[in-house]
Amino acid sequence: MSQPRGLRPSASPASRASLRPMGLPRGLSVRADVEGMPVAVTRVDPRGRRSDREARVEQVDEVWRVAEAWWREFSQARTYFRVILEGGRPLTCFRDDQTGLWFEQPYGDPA
Amino acid sequence: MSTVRVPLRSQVQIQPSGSRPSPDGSVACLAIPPLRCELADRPALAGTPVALVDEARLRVVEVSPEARLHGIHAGMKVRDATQCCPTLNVLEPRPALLARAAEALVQAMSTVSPLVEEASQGVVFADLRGMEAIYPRTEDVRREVMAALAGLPAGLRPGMGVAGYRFTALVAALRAEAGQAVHVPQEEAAAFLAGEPVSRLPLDLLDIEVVQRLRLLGIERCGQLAALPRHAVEAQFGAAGGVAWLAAGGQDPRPLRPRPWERERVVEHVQAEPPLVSKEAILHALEQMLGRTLRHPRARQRFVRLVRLHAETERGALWEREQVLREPLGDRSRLWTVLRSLVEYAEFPGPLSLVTLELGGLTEESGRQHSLFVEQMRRREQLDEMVRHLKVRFGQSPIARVVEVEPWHRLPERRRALLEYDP
Repeated sequence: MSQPRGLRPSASPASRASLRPMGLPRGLSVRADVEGMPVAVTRVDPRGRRSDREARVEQVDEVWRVAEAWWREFSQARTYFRVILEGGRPLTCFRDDQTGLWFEQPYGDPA
Repeated sequence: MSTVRVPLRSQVQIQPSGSRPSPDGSVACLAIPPLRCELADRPALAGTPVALVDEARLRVVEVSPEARLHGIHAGMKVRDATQCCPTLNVLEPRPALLARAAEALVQAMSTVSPLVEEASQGVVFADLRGMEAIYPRTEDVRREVMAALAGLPAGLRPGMGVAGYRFTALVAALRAEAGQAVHVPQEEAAAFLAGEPVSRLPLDLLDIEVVQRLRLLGIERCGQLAALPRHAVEAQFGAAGGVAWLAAGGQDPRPLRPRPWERERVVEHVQAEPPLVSKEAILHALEQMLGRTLRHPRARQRFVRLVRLHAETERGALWEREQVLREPLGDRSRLWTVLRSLVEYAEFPGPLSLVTLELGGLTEESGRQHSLFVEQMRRREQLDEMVRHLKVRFGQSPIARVVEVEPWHRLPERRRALLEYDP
């Protein structure tokens, strides 16, 4: 499974082993409409295989954009969606605007 | 009405009794020389050469004026003393007798000052600073103290010394006649002490060997010692020599170390008739005393920091032990463990006729607050041990800590990270 751009492994294996980022995005398979809004989502496992049945998006509560370090080589541009899936389950996901890939990621308020 | 008298060995004019030493160093001393205490119930020995020896019966501790005429002095070997004077009466000490008298002195001093120190048996100091408004004259202090000692046999009535520093006050008390007071103004202290033998200096400053060395050097009086340069005395006898030099010059720097206030201790006595011989009997008596002391209103709901055991034999020998507890205890069983170990390892000097138990340093606390941090430390140690064990088993630590990296970051994966827990 690919990672969002900008996430790079640490320089040395030792430091990689000792400091692991938390809350990494997990891959998501999303069907979107012509406007790019998610219509249905399916979780995928680390190997890129679908690991869950498709869930329909009943409601999109919120949409926001995050552009980070746009002046650097490894810039980030994401569009987040907070949606309600069928059955009432909430989900926060984003689209990597540079690759077009979708990810699931909880987004708490920055401390 | 008693007045302050002029000391015999110096030409110093002592101040009239109406004045008091300066408040920046006002010390009162009561002293009963051990020999006087021993002679109190032996009137037949008055006027004869008498020497009091130490508990090991090896050296002379104190001599009567008649013995001094034969060349006998403190520190001399008993064997040499008896050769100097074949008619010498050698007395073995009865520390219990002196201890009882000393306790009376402490109680008497407590009537004029809350700060009372029992420096050695038969020598008690009181800090008079701040008491000028109540006792403006030395005579007022003397009258109050002597009134408190009215019950003491006439032979045990001490002299009183008042001076700016403790050694001067001690010498003044020893020179004072029974029931009288000698007050030495600070500016005259050096001259007052000049004729005093160096052996009078406290043993914690100059022991007997040092005094003998001084005598070999021709230094027999405090005035001679004080006339030496201080650095020369310190070079020979160390820091204690420096303190002795100051004391000999009337400026003893040692502060008073008052005993704990009465309310901070509880004392229980058992008088045994017949005397207690076996340790089992002593332990039974002690167990009862511990119960009584803990039931005392002063000790109830409080913890104990110090345990002191005091025992006297029929023949006046003394046995004392003091144990400062590692932590304050209020639990009877734990206190009993401490007391029992004190007795089980003790070697008493004979059958005990009096046993005294003192629980001292009573705290204000009525309960114990356990430290959260101690508990956390214990848990942390357990966790560390477990993680080390797992690391050995799996090759890496399965436990990680959450650390904040950039908590303000807009990308959630940049905010926190897991750091391998490696104890």
